[in-house]
Amino acid sequence: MDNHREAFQEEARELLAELESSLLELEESPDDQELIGRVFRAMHTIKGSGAMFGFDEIAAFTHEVETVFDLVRNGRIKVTKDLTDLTLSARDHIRVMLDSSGEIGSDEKEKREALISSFKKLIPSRDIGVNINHQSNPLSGKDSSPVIDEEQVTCRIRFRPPADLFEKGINPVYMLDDLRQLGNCRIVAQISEIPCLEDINTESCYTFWDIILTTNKGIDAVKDVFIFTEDDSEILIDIIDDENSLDNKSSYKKLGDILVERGDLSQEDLQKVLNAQKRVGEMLIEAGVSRPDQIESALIEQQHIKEIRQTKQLSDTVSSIRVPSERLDKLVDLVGELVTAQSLLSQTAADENNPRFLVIAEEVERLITELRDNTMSIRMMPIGTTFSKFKRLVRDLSKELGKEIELTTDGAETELDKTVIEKLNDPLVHLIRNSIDHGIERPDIRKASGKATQGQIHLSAVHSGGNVLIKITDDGMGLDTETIRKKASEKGIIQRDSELSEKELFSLVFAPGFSTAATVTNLSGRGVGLDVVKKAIDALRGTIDICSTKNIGTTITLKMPLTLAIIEGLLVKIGGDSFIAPLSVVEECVELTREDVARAYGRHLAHVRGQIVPYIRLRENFMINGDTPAIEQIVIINIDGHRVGLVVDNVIGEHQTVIKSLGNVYKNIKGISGATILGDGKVALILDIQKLVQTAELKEHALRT
Amino acid sequence: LSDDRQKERSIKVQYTIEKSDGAEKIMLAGELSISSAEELKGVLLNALSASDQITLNLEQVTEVDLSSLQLLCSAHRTSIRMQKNLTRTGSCPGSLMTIAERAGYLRQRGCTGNCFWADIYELCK
Repeated sequence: MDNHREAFQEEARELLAELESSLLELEESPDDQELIGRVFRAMHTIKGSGAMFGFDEIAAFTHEVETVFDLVRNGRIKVTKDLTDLTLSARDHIRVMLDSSGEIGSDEKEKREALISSFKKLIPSRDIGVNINHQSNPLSGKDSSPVIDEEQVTCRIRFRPPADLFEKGINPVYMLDDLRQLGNCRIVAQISEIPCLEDINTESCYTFWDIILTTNKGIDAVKDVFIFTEDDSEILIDIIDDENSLDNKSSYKKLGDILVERGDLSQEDLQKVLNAQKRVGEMLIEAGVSRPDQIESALIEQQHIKEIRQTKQLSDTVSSIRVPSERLDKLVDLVGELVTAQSLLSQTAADENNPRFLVIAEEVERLITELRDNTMSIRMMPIGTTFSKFKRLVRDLSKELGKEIELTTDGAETELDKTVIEKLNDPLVHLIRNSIDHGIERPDIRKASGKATQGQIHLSAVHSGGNVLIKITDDGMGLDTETIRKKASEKGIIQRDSELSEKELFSLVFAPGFSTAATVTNLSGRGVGLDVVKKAIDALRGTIDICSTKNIGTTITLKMPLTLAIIEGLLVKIGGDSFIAPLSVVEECVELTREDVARAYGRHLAHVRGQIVPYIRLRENFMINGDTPAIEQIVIINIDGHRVGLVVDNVIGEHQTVIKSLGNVYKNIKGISGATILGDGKVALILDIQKLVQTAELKEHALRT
Repeated sequence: LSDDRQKERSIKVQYTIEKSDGAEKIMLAGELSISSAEELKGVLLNALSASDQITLNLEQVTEVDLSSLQLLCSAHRTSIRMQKNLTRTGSCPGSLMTIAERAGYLRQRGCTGNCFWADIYELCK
């Protein structure tokens, strides 16, 4: 049962997310019946399955909301901003109840009572007491959609009512409507028995019907439709197709196709003969043995079954299964191990130099690469789920601040690793809050400076190589370089007279303790902000970049790696130890001879094609004993536009790096972000380039002052 | 159009007839139901016996029931047998489209070459 409860909670969370986006859309187009229906169905499903799995409070509360939306659906209540506001709060409340599994605090309970009474106030007085047809017992769970339906069947119904049907006061059209309610239905009226005008009795029913119905409500439900007329009508119900017959009835190839396949007949000849041939229906009509409307009815049956089978096949192929994310993580781990084992295999094969062995090793390598890519793609999720959350954020915050802001998004389908998306959420919230609070001006100020009163924030995501670029663009006041310079020198982050480029100035806003907002609001401005964002992005191996023009707007670009589990690395050696540098930041490798070192008079600077590049001696940094080789290697990396060298003994080459996190004991070691297992079973440490450079800069700074 | 004869009645079936050399234009309005069907039958019969070219305008019709659908179908069929021309003009009212769809009267091919319902089918698509 616990399993079911969890499944329900998960399903309900998805429904709530959908509910939120539907409500926000509904706010923009309040007359959209489809959206209203979507909101109603989401509420209905939450109520029904909530009751089934023992979430009685959720069911009872959702019931109240559903009642109101049923009235909305029937056009009794109009969709207003108040209603969507209220429903959004109700959604949040359901979420709270869901997460706390039923035990909620008294303040939440008060909130719930307030919500319920507000919803009740919305119900017009004449509708009080009018129950929606299936709500009499909200806790029965009987009407919930997850109740297992019967098997899907397709039946052919011939319904020939008695001629005096109208006189009995029965309108067959209503019965046809009932049949349509049961499922996918095609109805053909047979009108061949309607006599000529002279002979017609206007009060007789001459029409009879052929109906093809695909339903999962069971045959009894179909029979129930005819319950009032079954005694004097001719009612034939035949099951012509059911789920079991879908597989075994598929007909074998047609004769013509077999002949063409065997090469006994050319496709053109077949087509020519086929074109000359008349269709069976036409031939039957010509022969006078069938009437056109009979043929039409039969053709409709044929088409109906074809479509049902197609949709069945389609739903079979696109169906998805729900897998707990731990299992996926385990799978990724195993694939990682496999990649490691494979590199050992390739290494050994190369050493053995046995051609057969090499072929096998190459084949395994190819398969594992494919397996790795596939596994990674399973973990990919579209970023759109996160985007839709921000719609709500922008809506609520801008209301609070009295600003008018529209959030537009682009590239919601862009896929990113699940973990990256999860961890990106907080930084993005922070950045968007900043845009709302500091970026977009109040409507009156905007108007005065000739802008539209409504501010725009645009969120976009796009793939770029192994990275995803996420851009947050606003058309607000932009960053003011002078203010930043003043603030930074006040806080001692920069020297008063230091010359900095625009880009460098902008990057100061990410410095710890920096905030330009004059007043502190409850949203942002406390100086803990962008440096936290920067840290989070760094931890995800991403970069952050600001571009801004005063009074035009600001664009913040996040460059995030697609995945965190496996990276392309450059394997280097210092003495007996191996290290990995992320290949994405490596620019080139150059040699460093003892003469070069001597020429620099002890300063850690190297000349690379006329440019001076500072370097860090990793051997010193990690305090590794032993002699340096005569010719060392500098791995030149590019970090935030600066070139920095890392001096190592040897560069081994590219390495598929499966990232393993270091245990708690090693978590605080500066300069190392993780580890990986090499083909020979040894451990290589992954360099945290950002940290290494930062530490070196601080040291340098301390030396100078 | 000197011999134009206009006739307006408002008992049960609301209709107006315009006649001019062998052609007859019938404009129906309001509700076409079983209680008015007998009268509508008379109107249609008269028209079919008097004119060769009959056009039915249903634009103002607000409601149609199954018995009236049968009647319209029968009139059309009769016109073909009598080698006369009965067609529908003007836009097709929503009420007629809805009932034709609900009652399963819509079809691509009818019993005759130019079925009365086939063009409504096209409209409903």
